[in-house]
Formats: sequence, structure tokens, C-alpha cells
Amino acid sequence: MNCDECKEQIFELIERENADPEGVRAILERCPDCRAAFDETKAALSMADRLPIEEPPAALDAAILRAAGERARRVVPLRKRRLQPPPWAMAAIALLAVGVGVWTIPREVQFEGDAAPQQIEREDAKTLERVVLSEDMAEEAPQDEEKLNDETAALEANQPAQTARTGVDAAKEKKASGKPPRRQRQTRSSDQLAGAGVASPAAASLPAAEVEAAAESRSLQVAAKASAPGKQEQDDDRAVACRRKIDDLERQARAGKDLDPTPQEELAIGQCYQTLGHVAEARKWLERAASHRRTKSAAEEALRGLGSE
Amino acid sequence: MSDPADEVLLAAYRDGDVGAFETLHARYRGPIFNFLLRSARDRGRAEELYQDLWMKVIERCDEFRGDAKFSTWLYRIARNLCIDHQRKMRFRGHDSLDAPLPLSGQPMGERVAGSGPSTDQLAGGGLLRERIGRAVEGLPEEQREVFLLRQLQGLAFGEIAEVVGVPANTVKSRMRYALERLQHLLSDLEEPHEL
Repeated sequence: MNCDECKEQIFELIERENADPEGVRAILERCPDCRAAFDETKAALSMADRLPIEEPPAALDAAILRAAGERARRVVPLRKRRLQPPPWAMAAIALLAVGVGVWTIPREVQFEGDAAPQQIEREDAKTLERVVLSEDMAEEAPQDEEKLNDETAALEANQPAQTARTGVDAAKEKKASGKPPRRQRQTRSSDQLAGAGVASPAAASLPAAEVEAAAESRSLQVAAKASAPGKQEQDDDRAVACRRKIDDLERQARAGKDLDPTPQEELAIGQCYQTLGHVAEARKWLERAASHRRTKSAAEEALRGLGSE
Repeated sequence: MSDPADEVLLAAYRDGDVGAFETLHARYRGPIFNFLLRSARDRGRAEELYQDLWMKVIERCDEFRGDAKFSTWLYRIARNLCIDHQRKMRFRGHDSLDAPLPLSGQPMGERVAGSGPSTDQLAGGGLLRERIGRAVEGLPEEQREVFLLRQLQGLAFGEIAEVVGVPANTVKSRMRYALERLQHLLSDLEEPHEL
């Protein structure tokens, strides 16, 4: 270390931030110039320590502390408020709770009575038929053939699982329309009908002939649906309905009327013949129904049942 | 039990603890006021800057993220206030104390800190401190701020470097030059010192 380096480090030595304090001290002891520089720096620092320290005005400090207090009072409630949900959110939650309550209460009542839905369905089968025929046929019709096809498929005979669709379909209908199905508000039986695919939105705008055809189809479907195995008490009704329908059909044929049934009607007629035990006629109508894409699966299903009979 | 750190106190104040702010204020009020006083070289201006500084601390305490020490943050604000103040003074046509006088070519600060009465005379009348204060005010701005941060607040050179935005070695050099200048200005007051 030479004198120049030593002088540069004198201040750091005094401030106790020197990396090599012993080296600097060694030079200071033998070099008068470096020692003089050290003394000057030390003297300057000593004088600097006497730099007068003035006090800020007390009034100014008081004003600053007042401002600090005001800020704290202003900010802290805001932070507390941030932790709490805003009033509009509380109102929205309350409204939602009421809405959910309104939505769930009727469903719970229904479930209480639904201890054995299939049993109830069995008991209400006659009512279902009457309600559908009296209400739906007069007021409503399927929106399109697609819907009708769904209804037919739902009515595939001897499919007990299909009857469990009641609640699901009603819920779907409600979801799609944004409001509860009309028949759900009317009777429980009609609600179940909706689940069976018989119900459909009102079709006042549809042509009268189409509505009539749909109604007739539905009546046949209901008659076919009533042919579920194990429902002995319904078999007679189903057979009567089918007999009546087949009689009408044959009467029209004998009268020379030009029959042009829809695929759904062909399926329903086939199922009626099947119910009445007219295998050949049933097979003929079901095969016709099976030739249509929309009724193919239901007709083939019925044909399979026919084959085993 | 050690005193809470500045940053802890500021966080407490942010959460509404006014007492924490009072403690923080008490720690820094003297050094920061004198830093402003020696920088502005006018008590009235220094008081304005002092008030502005603490108002900014109150308003911006939420912006302090703890990346630097509170003292660094505080003196950075103070330094910026001083720079703004000096710009305003220049804009209004005030002469800087650092500017050389037309006749002598000597800065006004050095002139007022020049040799005069003896040490005893100065000490007796309190003029010694006044003269030292003037000598410090007469330092070039970049040396003065380093000197004040070191002498008044005792900041480490690394922290001073953060405040003024230059390397630590530059800070040390400025401090050395400031002391040489003070020693030169106040040589008639010097006393011998031991190693």
C-alpha cells in the first residue's frame, strides 16, 4: 500500500469500514504526510459532529400526527368494510336463498309422496290416460316429429325403466322453458304423463289435422303403454283401448278410406295388434314402422318381443 | 426487548396503529428536518418540505413494499423533494448558494463559511455551530447530501448509495471530498486528534 492508497482509506479507517485497517495504521505511523491527512480528516469529522441540530416546530409535528391519525381512522374502516360482503351481495344471497327454497319445497313434497313412484304410476294409469286424452289432445301437440318420435320411443312397451323418466323429463322441460311445466302445476298425474313423453308444449299454432293426428297417436301410445307386463289390472283397459282403435281402423278400411298413417301411428297400430294377439297383423304394421328411421328402433324392439311370443 | 424495526412500525400504521407512526416519526423527525434544513438552506422552506415529506409518507405508506429499508425510502422521498425545490428556485430566478459569485468566483456558501472570529469567540457566542452549519451548506450539492446522510442519520455507505443512486465507492469519494472541503473551510477551528 502506498501513500495515495493510504490517504484514500483514512476516512474508511476512521469510520471503521476499512478492509485492511492494520495496513493503513502501519503507514500512518511511519509517514508524516499520511498522518497529517489523517489528522485533517479526523478534525473535519469532529467539527462535523458539532453541526447544529435544529428541532422542527412542535406545531408542525402535531399537525403531521393529526393527519396520520385521520388517515388511520379513514383507512381502517375501509379495510374492515372490504372484509365484509357489500350490502348488495347480502341481498343477492338472501334472494337466492328464497329462490332455492321456493324451488325445493314443492319437490320435497312430491318426494314425500313418491315413496313408490312405479306403484303410484300404476295406480294412476287410468287417470293418466284420461288426463292426457282430455287435456293434451285438445290443447297441445308435439312441436315436431322429432318430439313425437321421442314420445314413441318412451312408450316402448314392456320397458319399466322408462317410467322412471318422469322427474328427469319434467326437469328438462322446465329447464328448457325456464318455467315449470304447465301440467306440473295442474296434477301429479299429468306431470307423470309429461315424463312418459306424452306431454308436449302447447301447439295452438299447429294445423288442426296435425293436432288431431298427434292426439290419436298419443291415444294409441297410451293404450300400448298400458300393456306393460305384470299390470294385470291395466291389461283389460289396454285391450279395450286397442280393440276400439283397431275396430275404428278396420271400419275405415272397409269404408274404403285411404289410410295413410304416420310411422308413429303404424308403430302404435302394430303394438295394438300385438296386444290383441294378432301376430301377423302386428308384424306387418311393426315392419312398416321399422322401415322408418324414427320408429325403427321401437318397432324392432316390438318385433323382437313379437318373435318370442 | 429490542425496539421494533421501522418496517414493522410502518406496517402497523398501515393497519391503523397511530402509535406506530408516532414512534416512527419520533425516530426520524430530527435527522430528516436537519437534512432538509441543510439542503434547502432556509428554515421556512425546510419546514414546508418537512411537512410535505411526512404527508407523502402518510399518503404513500401503502406503496412501501419492503424492497428497501424504510430509512432508504424516506430519504429518497426527502431528496426528491429537495431536488424539486431547487428546480423551482432556479425557475424563479433565485441564485444557488453553489453558484460562484460574480466578483470573487467563490460560491456563496464558502464565503459565509470563511475564517473569521477565533474559536473561543465563536463558541462563546454560539457562532461556532452557525459557522459549521454554513460550511456544510456551502458544500457542493452531491457532497453535501452524502455528508448529511452520513452525519445526521448515520446511514451506511451502501444505503446512501441506494438513496442517491450512485455506487458505494462514489459515495465514499464524495464523503472524502466533503470532509476535505470542510477541513479546508474550518481549518482555523481544528484540534489535534489521536489515532
